[in-house]
Amino acid sequence: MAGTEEEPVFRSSMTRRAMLSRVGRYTALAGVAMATPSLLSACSSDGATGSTGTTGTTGTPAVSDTTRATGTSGTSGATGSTSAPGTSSSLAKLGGQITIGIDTASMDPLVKMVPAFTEQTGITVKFDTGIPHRAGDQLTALVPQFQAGQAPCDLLLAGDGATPVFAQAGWLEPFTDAIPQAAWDDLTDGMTDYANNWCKFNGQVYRLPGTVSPLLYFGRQDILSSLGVDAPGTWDDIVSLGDPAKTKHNMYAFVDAIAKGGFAYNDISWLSLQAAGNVFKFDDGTQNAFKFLSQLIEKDYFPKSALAWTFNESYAAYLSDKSVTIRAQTDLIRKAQASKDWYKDDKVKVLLPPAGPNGERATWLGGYGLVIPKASKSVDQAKEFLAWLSLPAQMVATGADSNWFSPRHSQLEAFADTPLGRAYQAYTEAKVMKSRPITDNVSKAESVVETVLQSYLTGQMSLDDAVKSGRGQLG
Amino acid sequence: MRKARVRQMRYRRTRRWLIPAALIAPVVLLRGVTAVWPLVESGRLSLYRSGPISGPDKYIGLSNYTKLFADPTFTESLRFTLIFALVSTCIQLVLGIATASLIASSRRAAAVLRPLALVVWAIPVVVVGIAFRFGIEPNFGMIADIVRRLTGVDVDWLTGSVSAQIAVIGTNVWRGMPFVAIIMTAARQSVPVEYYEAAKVDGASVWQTFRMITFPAILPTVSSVAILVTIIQMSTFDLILAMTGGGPASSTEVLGFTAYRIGFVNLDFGEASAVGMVLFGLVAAAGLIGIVVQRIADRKAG
Repeated sequence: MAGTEEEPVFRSSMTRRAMLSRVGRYTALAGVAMATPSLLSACSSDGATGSTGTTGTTGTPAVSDTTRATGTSGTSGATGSTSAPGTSSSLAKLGGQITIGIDTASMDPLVKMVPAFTEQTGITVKFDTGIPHRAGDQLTALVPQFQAGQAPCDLLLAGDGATPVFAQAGWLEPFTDAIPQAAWDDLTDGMTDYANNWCKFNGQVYRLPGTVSPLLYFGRQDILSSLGVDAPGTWDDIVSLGDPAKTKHNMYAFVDAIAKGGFAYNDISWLSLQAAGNVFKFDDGTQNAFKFLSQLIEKDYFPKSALAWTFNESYAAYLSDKSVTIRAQTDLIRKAQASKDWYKDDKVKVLLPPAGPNGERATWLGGYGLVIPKASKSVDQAKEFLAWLSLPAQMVATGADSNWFSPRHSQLEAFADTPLGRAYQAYTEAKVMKSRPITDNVSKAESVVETVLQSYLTGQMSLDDAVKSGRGQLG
Repeated sequence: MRKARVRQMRYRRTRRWLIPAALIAPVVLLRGVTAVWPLVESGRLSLYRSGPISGPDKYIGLSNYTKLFADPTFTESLRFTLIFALVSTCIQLVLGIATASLIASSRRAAAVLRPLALVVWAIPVVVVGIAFRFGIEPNFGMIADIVRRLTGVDVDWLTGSVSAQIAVIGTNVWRGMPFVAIIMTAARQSVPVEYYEAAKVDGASVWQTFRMITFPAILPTVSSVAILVTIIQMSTFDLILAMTGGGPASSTEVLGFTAYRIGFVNLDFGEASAVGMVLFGLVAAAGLIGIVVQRIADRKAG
């Protein structure tokens, strides 16, 4: 009877077989619906979107830059009418394709040149600007992929902070024999020092120095002249500059970006080098650097708010007449020149870096270089590209008005008349370009140095406690 | 005959749950793979020394946990996570309820506040973090400039440990309050109008009306939202990354950021997993408290 406790109100005449059949049909439909997107992407014939098959966090290659759309193939988008000068005749005709993970600014000079490479080797070159550029972001995005035995590209423009980790973990392919001696001979002493520490590990080459540059020390020659002082040559000179700069011009003696995320580490390692210190050992030189920075902040010769500054703010401070000197990257020149109303040559004069106590004038070289992920499927082609690119002729071609201009003999000669060329030449002749120290797990070490420095500068720790904490964490 | 009837009964009972179960099975499976398995794997990894440059994984028991709780940076991060979540939640609830009351009581206020709340809520957290970082910078920031002109006070928010914590909490409140306000508005509007009319007739003041009618009526919603928002805020990561990077030093680190730093900067996956499990424990505890509070509230209402 309907509606009783024994029988449910709804009644169906479906048999058990029919019910199971219906369940099976629904489940199959649901499974097909879920699998369809994966099937469609697997059947896709477009190689450029094939990178979505990776499990990493990089996602699809960025296509926000319209010029990149034409740069994805070595045979399109470029004029193609000139060959790259001085190409090596030993390049093999391998054919195939490589993808280079690179930022847009660094990609642009290469896009113009790769047609010549493709013509000689038959290797098509694509570019992927979707891969993170900052070393810290590269670690975050690429560690899971590399650990899973995958790689989003065949060549990667890897930063200093990421390369040692990748090499130590065995995720990079060495290419010692691929680079011609002419490429190494082209490096200045400072670059050679840098390459030995940051591009070679256990006697093998893992990275070709690419967009490498020294940290530059800039000064307002106009302000220095008005104050009747020479450019600071030592830390004491910077301290002496503080009072007159503040009184007469309401300017800081020195500004820099010392926020967490690499900026604080860059600054303190620069200062530590000038005091003959090793920033990872928290030795006397490093402690002197800590004290120097603290002294400048206490006297208001250096802004305390720089603890939260990236280069955006420090450059803005310099370009808005808030400081007499600044430590900056080479792009400050370009940014300053973009402020046409403000810019004059003597407002952005490159000075030799100052010397710290018991130290010498010093700055360090750093930047990015090309590595080959071990999981690359075109290792031979990638090596061929590096062998071609490393030659002086190619470096001169890429270095013209781009961030590929590094202190190499060929580039220094070719670009001697540019502001950056003159700066590099001065730094090379003064022998101030060094390599900063490297250590195991450099990523962690940099983070510890930054945290300890900021703890000290904000008064959360004394110098002794800071040194103790730093040494304890880094062993 | 009787056996056939019993069989038919059992078959119908089975059918009642089998079809729905079969239909939701794919989703449950997907959720299991994407949420439950990573949780179990994190728990397992937290018992190992693991990392890309630390050699093969090695079982070390609870060493990661003892190391964490002996590390002042971690305990500070744990303390700030709780402060960040609880203080943000309290302020958001107060402001959210106040905003909801305003929206409910005035059409003009509703016309302005409701779309404003939606716009603020829609802004990505990273954008909020970066915007406030620039905005409160004393040399260049617009917010700092306005505050200086109005009050004469010049604060360098992000260079002191306490001030940076206040700045981060304040930004979080600004960003999260609209969500609470929108939910509270819906709860407020479900209170019968007759109650307010009766209160008006009885001569109740605004505060009395709120205390005796509005708040008791929306209390179940308040408790649910409080737990939900607390849990969400315990897992904050993006705001900290964008605004302070955990600095100055490590004073604004929360557990989510600490896990990221240990995992992707220090490259210690085992220890990072341990941080993740501690965070999971906190969130689970908050959820359990929410369930208990809800049950007590239901019992009182029933």
